[in-house]
Amino acid sequence: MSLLTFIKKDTPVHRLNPLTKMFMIGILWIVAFVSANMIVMLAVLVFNIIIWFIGKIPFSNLKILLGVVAIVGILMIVIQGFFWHPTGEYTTLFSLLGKDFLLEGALFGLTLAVKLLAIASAIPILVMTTPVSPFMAALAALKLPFKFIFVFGTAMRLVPLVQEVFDEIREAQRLRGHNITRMNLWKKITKGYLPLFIPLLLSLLRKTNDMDIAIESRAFGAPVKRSYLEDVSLKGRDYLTMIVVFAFGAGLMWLSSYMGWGAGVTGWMAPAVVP
Amino acid sequence: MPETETHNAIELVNLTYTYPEQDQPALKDVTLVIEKGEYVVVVGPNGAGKTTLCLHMNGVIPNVLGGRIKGKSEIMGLNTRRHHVYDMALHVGIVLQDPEAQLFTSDVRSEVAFAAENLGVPREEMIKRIDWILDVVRLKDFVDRPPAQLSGGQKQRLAIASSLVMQPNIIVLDEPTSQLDPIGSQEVFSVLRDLNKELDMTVLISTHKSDYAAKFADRVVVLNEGKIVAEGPPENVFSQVDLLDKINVQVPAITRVEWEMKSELGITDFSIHLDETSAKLKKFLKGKNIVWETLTDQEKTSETPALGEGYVELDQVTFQYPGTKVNALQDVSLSVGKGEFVGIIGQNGAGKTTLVKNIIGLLKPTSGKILIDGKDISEELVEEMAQTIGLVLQNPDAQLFAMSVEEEVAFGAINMGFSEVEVAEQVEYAIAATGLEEFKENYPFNLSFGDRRKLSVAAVVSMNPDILIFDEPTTGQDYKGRRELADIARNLNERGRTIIMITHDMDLIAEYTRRLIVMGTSRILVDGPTEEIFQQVDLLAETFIEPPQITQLAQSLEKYGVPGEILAVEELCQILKKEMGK
Repeated sequence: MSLLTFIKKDTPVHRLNPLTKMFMIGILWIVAFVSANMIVMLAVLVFNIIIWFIGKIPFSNLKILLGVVAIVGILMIVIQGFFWHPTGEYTTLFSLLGKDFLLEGALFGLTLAVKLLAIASAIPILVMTTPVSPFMAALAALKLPFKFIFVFGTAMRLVPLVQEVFDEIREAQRLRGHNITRMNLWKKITKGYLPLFIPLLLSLLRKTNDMDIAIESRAFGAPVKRSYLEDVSLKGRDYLTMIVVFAFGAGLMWLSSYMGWGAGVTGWMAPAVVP
Repeated sequence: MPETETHNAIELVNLTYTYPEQDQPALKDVTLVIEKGEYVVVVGPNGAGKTTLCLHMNGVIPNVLGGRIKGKSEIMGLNTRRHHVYDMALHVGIVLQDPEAQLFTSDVRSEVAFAAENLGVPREEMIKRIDWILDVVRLKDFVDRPPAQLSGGQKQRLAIASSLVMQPNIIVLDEPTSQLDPIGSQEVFSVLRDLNKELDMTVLISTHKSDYAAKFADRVVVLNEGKIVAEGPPENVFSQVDLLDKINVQVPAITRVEWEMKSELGITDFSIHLDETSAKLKKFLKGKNIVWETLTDQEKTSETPALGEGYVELDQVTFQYPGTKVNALQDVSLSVGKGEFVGIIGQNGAGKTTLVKNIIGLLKPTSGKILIDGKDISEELVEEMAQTIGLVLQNPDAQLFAMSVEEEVAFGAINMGFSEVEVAEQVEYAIAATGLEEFKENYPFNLSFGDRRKLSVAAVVSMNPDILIFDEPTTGQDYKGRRELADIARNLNERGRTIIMITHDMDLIAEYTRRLIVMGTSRILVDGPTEEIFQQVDLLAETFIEPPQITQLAQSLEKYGVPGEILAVEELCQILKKEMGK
């Protein structure tokens, strides 16, 4: 879960306005979505990694991300290798059960995996460097209705809350000698989970009920124009960042149109993903 | 709102309220009129209807919780049945009992800001208010902390701040100090007094802390079984000692001293303030000099426990929570002997819970060593140590899952690998020790909060540990519930168990423990016999603790030979009566 939780640090990335970071991710996503040019996508990926570095986002998270993408990537390469429909020339690498595995298909799968990685690695730039409250204020600045923003904010909070309650319960049951890690699967199912999940369910029900009272008691939904504590006005560094990111995005788009949206340098990309 | 000019702050007339799917009303024919600017404290045992009363004040009842309501309920002139909770929120701030359930944002600052934002308070004004209120509740250094990382007491203060930021006309607090250290509790009452005076804010607090009710309230309301059974200025209410004893509401220690001594001193109206009682007794003691050595001889003969014989041994234990840079425990060394009954006191966030979690192995020291019965526990698993050392956590509901009390209690014993016969024996013993015999077959969640706490003790006792640690067993408990739990601990102690108890209840700790460990921020400030510890008033103040009221009274009379280490009302009365008898 640490992939999505804010980590408090003082870096230039943390200091950026959430709107700027949203803009940044927006541009990077557009480029990564629209272009399937391998060089362009790798450029987006490298850009993300540089921002990770500046924002001191722990690279251990990149490993998790890589792990996930690797699994999906291999699946894509295998599936595309076997089922990709050639539109022009193609190269058969080998055959299995009468089905050809095509190099072009495998490369297409690889492209999708890189695309996925480029898109996914942009998310922590916003989420891991921005506390929830400025994030919510930024969404409000985009004129989204507050009820929507609140649901979003609460959802962000829900994961750690459930985790917290669950940890407390697990601690309490460990104190009563309940050691689920030492049980085999059958025992876990029949005996292990019950003492953890029943209190969890009951606690969460009670907590959400209390939370409902607390939220309403603190004037949620009052018929006045809501104000925000967080200052989401843009500073010089925000404008500068936006200009740089925009120029970078525009440059990559130009590069794509110059080198080919899907073709790349190796010329193996089919126009399938060209908009 | 022009209509709000002429009416009372709170006007409940013949109010009867029944929760959905309940037969018995939770409030019966309650009439309570509170004028603007009054400071009213509601006392009463658990289950008396205090929370229900509080939830009427901003329309959560009936708007959110439903139920059947009869009679008039008007707050700032607004009928609670006809107005949304957010309408009421413009006038009424409410702080609920369980602080955790009302904190839902990602950091302290945004938590406090939430209500102000909802009310559209301009940003500059909001910042001013947040600064002010965080200062008031001593949370200024924690603005960026996620609420989850605060101690129980800090969470409670945050919940209070989150409501006060609305600067409402009326502030309603349902047991706002149940997890606070003594001075922290007093501060809450005192801050509310200031707000009440300066901003003419109407204050309604429900609490079990009669001392503070007596000290700060304009008016005290006593609830029992949904009815108001007494009401009036605190001195009138707390003088009704027989009534209060009958319904298990604590009488302030000083008032009880006067009540016990009424015939000797010829008192007819009882005081509720320490200095008044002290003055009365000084007058009585004038010219006398109590020679009390004779009295204490018998005290002294009752063996003072040897401090620490190394059953639980901590050597230079330092602990740091992962991801933090401050030590939550710093070079803590202590030694507890077998069969001792030790109290741990200290301000909120001092590290008391962290300390016991280290002792029990839930947390592992960053450096230093912990020995239990001579054995280093650094490699031991919590699950395996449960047979030696048991910890009763603050929140009973984090562990109850079984369909019956019996089954719940058996769970730990079965996990310990006891034979069927042993399990049955342990369960019986644990249920008897906690006085839950009549509820054996009941579903745990149908028990009252006090009984659920006892059940959580039984669940630990059934594993037959030698050492039992109680973490804040008094939280949210009324006078009777606290004493019952402390009695359980005492009984177990008499049967040879070593007891370590963390609490903020100084009266209780004074009465039950012989030895106290006082914690300041992350370290032990002092460790010694209870009566000696309470002599060190300045040191205790450092960690937001003050001696029990009775001890303070005795200390004010030291000039006349009254021993300052008195810990119980009976002790002082005995001395005074003996003096009378001369």
